[in-house]
Amino acid sequence: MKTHTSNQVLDELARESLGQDINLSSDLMIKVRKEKNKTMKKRTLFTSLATVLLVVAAMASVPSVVQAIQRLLGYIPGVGFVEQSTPLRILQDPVETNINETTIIVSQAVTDSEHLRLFYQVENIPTLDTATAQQSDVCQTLPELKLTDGTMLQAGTISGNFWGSGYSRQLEFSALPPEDYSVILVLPCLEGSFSKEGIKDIEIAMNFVKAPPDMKVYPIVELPTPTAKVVPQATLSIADHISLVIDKYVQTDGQIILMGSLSSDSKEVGLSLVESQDIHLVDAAGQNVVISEDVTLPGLETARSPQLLPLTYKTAGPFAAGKAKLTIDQMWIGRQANESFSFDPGTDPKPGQTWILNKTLVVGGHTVTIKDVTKNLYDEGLSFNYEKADDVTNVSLMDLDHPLLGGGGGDSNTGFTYRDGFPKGMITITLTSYDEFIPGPWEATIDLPAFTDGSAPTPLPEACLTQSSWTAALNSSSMDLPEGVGGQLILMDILPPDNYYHIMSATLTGSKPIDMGIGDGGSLSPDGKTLIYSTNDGLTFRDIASGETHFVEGTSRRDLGALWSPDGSLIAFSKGPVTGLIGAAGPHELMIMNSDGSDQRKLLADNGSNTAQAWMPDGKNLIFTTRRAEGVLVQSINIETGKVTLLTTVNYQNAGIAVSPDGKHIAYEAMLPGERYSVYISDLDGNNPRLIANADPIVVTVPQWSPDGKWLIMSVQDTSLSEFMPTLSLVNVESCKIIPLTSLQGYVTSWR
Amino acid sequence: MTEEQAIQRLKKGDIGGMEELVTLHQAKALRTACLITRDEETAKDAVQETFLRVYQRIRFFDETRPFEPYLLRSVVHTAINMAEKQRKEVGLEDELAPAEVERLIARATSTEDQVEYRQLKQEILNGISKLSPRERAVIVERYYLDLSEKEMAEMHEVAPGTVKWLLNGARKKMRSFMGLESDQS
Repeated sequence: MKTHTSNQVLDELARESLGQDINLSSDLMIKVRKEKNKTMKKRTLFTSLATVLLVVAAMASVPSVVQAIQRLLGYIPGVGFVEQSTPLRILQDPVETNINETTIIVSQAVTDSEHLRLFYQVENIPTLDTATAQQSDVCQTLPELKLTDGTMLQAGTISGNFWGSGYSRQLEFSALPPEDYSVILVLPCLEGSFSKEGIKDIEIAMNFVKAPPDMKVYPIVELPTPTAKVVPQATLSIADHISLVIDKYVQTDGQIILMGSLSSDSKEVGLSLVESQDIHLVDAAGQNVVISEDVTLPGLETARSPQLLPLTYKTAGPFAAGKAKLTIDQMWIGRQANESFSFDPGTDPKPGQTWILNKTLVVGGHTVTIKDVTKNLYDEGLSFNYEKADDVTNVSLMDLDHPLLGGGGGDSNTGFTYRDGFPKGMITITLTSYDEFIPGPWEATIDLPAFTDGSAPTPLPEACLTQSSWTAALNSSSMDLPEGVGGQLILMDILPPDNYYHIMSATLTGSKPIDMGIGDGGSLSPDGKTLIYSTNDGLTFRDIASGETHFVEGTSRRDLGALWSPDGSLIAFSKGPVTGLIGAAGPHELMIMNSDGSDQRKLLADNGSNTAQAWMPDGKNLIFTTRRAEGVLVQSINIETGKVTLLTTVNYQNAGIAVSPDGKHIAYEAMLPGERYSVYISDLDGNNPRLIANADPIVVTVPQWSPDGKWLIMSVQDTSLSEFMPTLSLVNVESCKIIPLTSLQGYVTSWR
Repeated sequence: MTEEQAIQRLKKGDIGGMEELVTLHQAKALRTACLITRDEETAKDAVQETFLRVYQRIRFFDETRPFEPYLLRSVVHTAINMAEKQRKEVGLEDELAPAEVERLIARATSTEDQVEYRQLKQEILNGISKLSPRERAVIVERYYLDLSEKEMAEMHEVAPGTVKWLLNGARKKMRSFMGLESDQS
């Protein structure tokens, strides 16, 4: 009998070898930011498109001719594509299991002849109120499925959603055998909980039944075979070899899922990637329709080859029925090459030895310079550094004269390992492939059907800050600050050389911000004399006049987001889980203390993932958010009675909330359909929402109110201004006037 | 934020998506790397290096495939390279066959005696430490990441039989460690 699995044995060994509470996030994010700074140079603009472009139009005929063909495949929202050659079996009823305070609900499960997909949700994960737990104690094991004959099926993940106090998952297993109608979902532990102390070995019995005939399975509508409209060409460009076809769609109650592919008729042109900002859908009325790739839906094309790139996009916004045009502006393709050079590693190449090469290879009109090569230490392989233009990446260098054990690399390096040991004599290296960014466009026309109920979805209202209004504001000659707008800002910006977040003090006048040291989440006292902010060691006070700092006794790096009360007598903050472990379940407690850091006490400790957001002007109520599966609850808590009042909900789990100085409105971050970032203002209870910012693909976040309540200051991630940090901007909430503050970057956390 | 949303955000250039991926996956990545490198600092370096590579190449990531196996395969690859750079020369007499570690793992999974279990864990740890990084990786892939030999062969772009060879081929090196005679291997 097995008492431990091999996985458990090695897991124990690994965790016993590692220190407690290792969190790579901070250091790693600094490196990532540096990397972004280094590599996110503006991509070379394609100022000249190919002289003549071949546009292959996939022309669907008029809607009446489009035949909806009930194929063997169908689509079920929340499940995905299902194969219907055999009857579908579905979960008879949702299954709810309660263990102490924890609830596990399996709400949906469908098995076809190929896969079983199920969705379950866990609420109130048990937490561990001790700092002695180790990171490796946090459960990360997926459930299994036990069949009636005892066979265990392993899970694959389709999606997961974690919000501190709970999580949901969609999993995929092999299909249930045809004769099986009962199965047991086995959860060795609950993800994010603690394997040793928490709930373990949960078995949830599930019964399946044949799907009723009237179960809603949306058909996949096949469009007629597209006709290629070929423009005679004297010379074909690379783009000419690539065709775009949209040949299927699924129409659900609220959206259309478009399916098709890009294909290349040349074996020398592989298809790598279309970046999301490079694909557009314009409807029959000439309006842009928001579309996004659905990563949970596999492509329907079964034949995979480098020359075929399946596309699955769903509409997220409203659209007009009729002929729409899908356009891909540019894309990454894979190219073959055969350019070689030789170098002599000498008779006794040493591990770690580097040879400077500076060999220039020209492939497809692109110059790639191989800067140097190093013989790996103890690894019988070579690593190369190379330089190239931004429209080339993923360069593959190989020694074709010797068997290799694979290899690979990044945007500026690559390498391989010799299978049979390091060769002797001259080595010939061949550049065999690379990825290239090429201009299109490629277009496909498709008749978008009307919605089944005959209505058209209500379009979103225009926002104050859009991509076009932002661009216009940047180009405006009049960007003077209006009278009466001033005060002191506390913001976070990433500064060299350490590339950590620093707390900065700034004004709107354009004077140079003052660096007040490493930290985040700064809040200035109402009298402007003292700052409180978070550091890795805990909450820290800073005297603005003298610059002196001191830690708040009893706090640690788990204490975040300090907020000074309006009268300056109290400070609220959020406290992370006691264990301090990564990915562990909450709670995130709301804390309060006196303005000198004394009398720290819990304001709310309810196992929820709570975050203090803002004080109400009366100083008696604190606005906070609690993460949930679909976003956050925006709530207030009375600091004297502890009474919690639900104000509204927001559909973004990381939403920041700012309260207007008169306490009547909130400004908040929300997510628009198609994963677009936006900023709204509304009444305190969420009524009368107004869209303030929707500048996709520019991301606008972190609103703060001006002291007079007439303006919002927000962070605008416009990479044409800064490739690294967002630029600040003022937006008047009444007039929609936009004033870009191009000399200020970062995120504002306090405005007095 | 879901993993898919994190990847989508990262593809849009929002590095907040990376933070989410790190939070979700660093623990298992660290343990995987640590088993191969046998050194915490090198393991941390390997995981950081892997995440940086993920960031550089995220636009080429096929979102229809699960992220964790993709990440852990990269962690294994990077950890091998880093461990081999760190490795001190080990004489043949100090080396052990992966197959012997396999046997120790098999015994550890079946014993009900906690004392014996702890002792076996120590022997496994000692045994793993005496393997080369590449051999440790084979053990980790097979017994920690639960990859099949077929998956391992695909991962390393070798024939399936090569994996068996990797598990068994160095067996004759284990004599002094296990006190066995050469003909028993």
